[in-house]
Order: sequence, then structure tokens, then C-alpha cells
Amino acid sequence: MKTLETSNGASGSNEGKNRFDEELNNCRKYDMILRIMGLIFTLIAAIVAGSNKDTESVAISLVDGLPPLHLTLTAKWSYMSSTVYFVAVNAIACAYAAISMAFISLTGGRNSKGSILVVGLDLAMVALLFSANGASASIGLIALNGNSHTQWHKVCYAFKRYCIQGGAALVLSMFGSFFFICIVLLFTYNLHRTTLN
Amino acid sequence: MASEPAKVVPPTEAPVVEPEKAAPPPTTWPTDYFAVADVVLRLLVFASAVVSVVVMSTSKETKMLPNPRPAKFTHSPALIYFVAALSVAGFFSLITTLGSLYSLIKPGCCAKIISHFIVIDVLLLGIVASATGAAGSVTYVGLKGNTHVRWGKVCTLYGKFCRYVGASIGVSLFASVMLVLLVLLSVYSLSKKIPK
Repeated sequence: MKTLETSNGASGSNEGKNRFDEELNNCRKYDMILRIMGLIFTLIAAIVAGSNKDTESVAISLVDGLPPLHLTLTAKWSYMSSTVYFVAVNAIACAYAAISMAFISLTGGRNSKGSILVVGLDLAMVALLFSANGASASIGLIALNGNSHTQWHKVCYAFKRYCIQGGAALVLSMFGSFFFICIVLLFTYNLHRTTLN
Repeated sequence: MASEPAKVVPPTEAPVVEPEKAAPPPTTWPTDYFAVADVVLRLLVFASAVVSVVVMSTSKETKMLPNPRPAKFTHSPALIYFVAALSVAGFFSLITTLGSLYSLIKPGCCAKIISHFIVIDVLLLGIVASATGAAGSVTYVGLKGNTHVRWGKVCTLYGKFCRYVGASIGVSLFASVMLVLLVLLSVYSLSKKIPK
């Protein structure tokens, strides 16, 4: 963003400088909006997934002919390692969105080395969020459908609320990662415009 | 096992790149190291995507329990998604490799199109990362099992299958790291191009 300023200085026209300043401010505004959206969505996803606990009474028939045995079983988010990863990554992304917003507003977005660092960390967050989504979705699919080849049986028929809450967290986190991708694309779009001008 | 396939292929790809690196100095235009590094990184992404697809699809293992029971990647939706996603990544990285190789040989021919490859790279990063996460989590359950929902271990029985799948996931992790570096390199070279 600093380079944007210097290129204006080279052109020397005052009117052009104002226009560029306006564009820079616009871009920073959109960047901030996207970061705030990313922060909100990843925060809600982490909270929804991290508060996921369901206690149900499950009927199990041990021996045919006898009445089924009613057991009270609990499904908790920390039982699945993929959900633990999901919550951790969403919390990290949320914290990172807050820190990067503070960093950008402190430096004014004019430090070009700093903005490269921010883009690198944005990309790392995109990769982490997408891998967490993939992990959570694939385990959720096994919980929903089971896998006959490995004899991993279904879970969701007994713990409906647990599975719905997990799915909601997954959708929220997908929106969050979409906003993080938009942050990176907005930055590169802005660079393109600056180089072509 | 995880690192072995990755180490096998890059050397075979390297000779393809070397002539390009050697060719520019005698001619008049200045060597653009960013473009060379760009092509090398794209080739690495392509090679690792191909390696992980090949390793994953050759991972079939049949155990003679009383009757033959095969284990292969099509038994899990996550691993099917992994193969599909890595194939897409390999296809697109091949196209972008050819594009940036062409622009390296003939500079200035299609710079505007080449500069938009960064969008493809970011999307590929999302695809490869999600495929790695999906396959990794399923393999982790296969390796450790889950006592809470009584999903048993698979890797105690199918050792070779698990090693191949793990190696494939490791190589795709390498591919996603290379994609991050590729996007960073493109951003850096774009920001260098801004007239001072």
C-alpha cells in the first residue's frame, strides 16, 4: 500500500493523488469488512462446534426376545479428534483476524513488507481453515452414513442434535474461509490495478 | 516411505527446467528470476499432485482372511474426493506451468493472462488443503481408531495400504505448502513491478 502512495508521488498530479487516496481508503474499508466477517463467522463456528454436547438415551437390544436395554450415552465434541482440530483452527483464525486488523490499523496499511507478511499469514489461514473443513466434513460423512468396509457404524441416527449442530458449525466455518479467500483475492486485485495504472 | 516418491520425481522434472534457466544469459533480455522460480514451483506442484494420485491409486491391498478382503481407496468417500481434487490440481498446475513457461520463453506476450493465474492458485490451494484434511482425518481414525464410537483400527490389518495412503497425504501436504509459496511469490513479484 505504501508503494501506491509513492507511485502517486511520481506522477505528481494532485488530482490523481486524491483519487488514489480515495481508492486506497476504499480498499482498506473492504479489507476491514471482510476481516470482520471472517472473524465473526470463525468465532461463531468455534463456539458452536466447541459447545457441542448431546446426551441421549439409546435403545440397545443385546439378546433377541428380551426387551431392549435403554442406555444414557453422551456424545461430546472432544471425542472426535477432527472436531478438536476444527475448533482449534477456527479459534486460531478468529484470533488472527483480530490481530491482523490491529496490525493494519496501527501501520495504516502502508508498510509493504508488513503487508506481504499479512498476505502470507492470510494464505496459511486459508489452508488451515480448508483442511479443518475437509477433516470435519469427511468424519461427519462417516458418522452420517457409516462405512461398511471398515465396519464403522453410523452415529447420527442416535445423536441427531449433535450431528445437526456439527453441520451448522461446518457451514459457518465454510463461510468464514470464503471471506478469508476474498481477503487474499482483494489484495491481489488491488495490486493488479496499481501495476496496470 | 512418505518422502521417497516425492524425491523420485522432481529430479526427472528438473532437467526440463535447467535449459530454460541456462538459456536466458546469452540473449539480451535480463533474466527474470521470479518467473523461473514460478515455473519451478508450478512444476513441483504438478509433480507432487501426480505422485500423490499415483501412490493413492496403487494402494490396493488384499488380505487373505478366510476369504480375500481387499482394501482400496474407493471404499472411502474422503479418499475418492482426495484423488479427484489432486487430479484437478495436477491438471490446472500443468496448464499454468505451460503458460508461464511460454511467457518465460517469449516475455511480454501474454503477461496480463499470466498475472491472473494467481486466482487459480488460490482456489487450488483451497481444494488441495481440503482434500488433505479430509483424507488425513479418515486415515487418522483408521490408524488410531475411536473408542467413543467404537470405530476400530484398520491399519493393524492393512499395513501397506495405510503406508501408501499416508505417503500420498504427505506428498499432497507438500503440494499445498508449495502452492502457498507460489501465491506469495506472485504477490511479491507483482509488488516489485509497481513503478517507484
